[in-house]
Amino acid sequence: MSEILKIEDMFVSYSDGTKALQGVRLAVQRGQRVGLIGPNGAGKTSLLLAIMRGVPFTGRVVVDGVELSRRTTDKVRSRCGMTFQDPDDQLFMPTLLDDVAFGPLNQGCHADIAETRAREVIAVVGLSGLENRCAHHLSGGQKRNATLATILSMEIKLLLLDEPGANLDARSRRRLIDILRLRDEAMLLATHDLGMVAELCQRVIVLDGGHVVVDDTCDVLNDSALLARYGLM
Amino acid sequence: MHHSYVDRFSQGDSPVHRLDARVKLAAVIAYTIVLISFNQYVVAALAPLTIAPLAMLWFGRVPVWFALRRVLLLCPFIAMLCLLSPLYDRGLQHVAFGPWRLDVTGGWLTATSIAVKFTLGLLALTVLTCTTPFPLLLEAMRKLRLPKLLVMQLGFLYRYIFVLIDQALRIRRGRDFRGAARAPTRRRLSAVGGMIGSLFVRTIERSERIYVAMCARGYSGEPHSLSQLRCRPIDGLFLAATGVYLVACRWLGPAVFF
Repeated sequence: MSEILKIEDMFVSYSDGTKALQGVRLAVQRGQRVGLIGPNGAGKTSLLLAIMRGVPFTGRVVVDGVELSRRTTDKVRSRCGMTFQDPDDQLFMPTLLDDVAFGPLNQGCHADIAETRAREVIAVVGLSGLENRCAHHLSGGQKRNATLATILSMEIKLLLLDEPGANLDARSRRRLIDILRLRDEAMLLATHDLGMVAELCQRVIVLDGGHVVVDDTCDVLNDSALLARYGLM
Repeated sequence: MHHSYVDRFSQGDSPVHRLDARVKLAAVIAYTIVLISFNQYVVAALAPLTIAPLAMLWFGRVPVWFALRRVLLLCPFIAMLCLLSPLYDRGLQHVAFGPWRLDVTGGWLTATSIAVKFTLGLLALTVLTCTTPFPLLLEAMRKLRLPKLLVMQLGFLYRYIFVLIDQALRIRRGRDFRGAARAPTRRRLSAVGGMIGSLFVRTIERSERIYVAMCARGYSGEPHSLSQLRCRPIDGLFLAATGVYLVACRWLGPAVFF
C-alpha cells in the first residue's frame, strides 16, 4: 500500500503568535481512513487547512506523490476534497446543483457530465428534489450533507473532513457513516465524535497542543486513561 | 430579516414567471433606458410607461401593495434629490392640463419627473425580481455578458447577506440577554461599537474561509455554473412586443395610448 499523504515537520503559526502545529509528522496510506482527534485548539483544522495550503506553513507535504508548493497547489487541491466546519462557508453558489457541480466543472468536466454526476451525488446524500434550492433554504443537516456532496462529486483521492457529524441528528449521522464507509478514497476525519471514528477508521491520531501524541489503531479509543489525559472524555 | 422577503413570489407559477430570465432582464434594461431618456421636465409623457409594470405585476400575480411598499422603503434615497430640485431650478415653465394652463418653476417639474421615473424603474425591477428566482437572474446576467465580477459579487451578496444578518441578530440577542437594556447609554454605545467590530472581523474571516473552500474545489478565477435557461418562441414574442411598446412610448407619445 503506497502513501497518499505524507507530512514531515509541519509547523503552522498564526499572526497573533499562536503555534497551531509544531513539527507534525504523519503518513496516510491509499484507501486508509484515519481519525484525527484531540481537544479544542489542538490543531486539527489547521492541519487540514495546511494540507490544502489554506494557511501558511513550513515543512513538507506530499499528496499522491506531488510535493505541495506554490507551483503545485492547484494540482494538490485537485486530488483532495475538504469539508469545512461551517457549511455556510462551503455552500456559496446560488443553487445546490450549481454548488455540487462547481468542483467537477473546475476539474474540466463537460457541463452535461458534471450535471449528471452532481445529480447522482445529491441522490446519494439524500437530497434529491432539492437541486434547485438555495443553500439558505436548506436545514442544518441538509447543509451538512450538501457539503459532503460538493466533494464527493469531484474526482479526488483524499477526503479531508472537518467535523462532518457536527449538529447532525442520529439518523443523519448514521447515513453519513454509511456513505463514508462505502468510499474508496483515503480519509482524514477530524472530529470529537469518537463513536464515528471507531466505526469508520482503521487508525487514530491524537493531536494535542500542535503535536501528534498518539498514532495507533482504534483500540486506543478503549483506553479511558489516555482519552482522559487528552481531554477526550 | 428572512430570505423570503427577497425571494417572495419568485418561486410562483404564472406566464411572467415562465418567461426566460434573459428576456425579462433585457426588457427591464430597455425599459429603464427609455425611462431615463426623457427630458427632466417631462412628466405627462411618462404616463404610458406605467402600463407595463402594472400589467406585469398583475399577470405575475404579485400584489401591487407589495411592490409599492418596496418603492416606499427605498424612497429616502431619492427624497433628498427631489426636495432639493426646486431650490436649484427656479426658471418658470408653462404647464398645460387640458384647458388649464399654469406656470411652475422647473425645479418642481424636475422633482416630479425624478419621483415618477424612480417609482416606475423600481416597479419594473420589482416585477423582475418577484417573477424570477435569483439564481436564474444571475445566470441571465452571465449569459448577457454582464461583467463576471459584478455577477459573482451579486451572487455572494445574495448568498451571504442573510447569513450576515442572522449573525448580527445572534450577537444582538447575546447582548440583550445579558441585560443590555438596563445598561447606561454610554456602555450600550460601546457595546454597539464592539458588535460592529466583531461582525466585521467575523465577515473577513468568513470571506477568507469561503475563498479557501472555493480554491479547494479548483476555483481559479473563472466561475463555472450549469445552464438552466431555455428560450422559447413566446419569449421572442414577448421581447418583440416590449420593443414595439417602448418605441411607441418614446417616440409616438401618450396620444397612442390614451
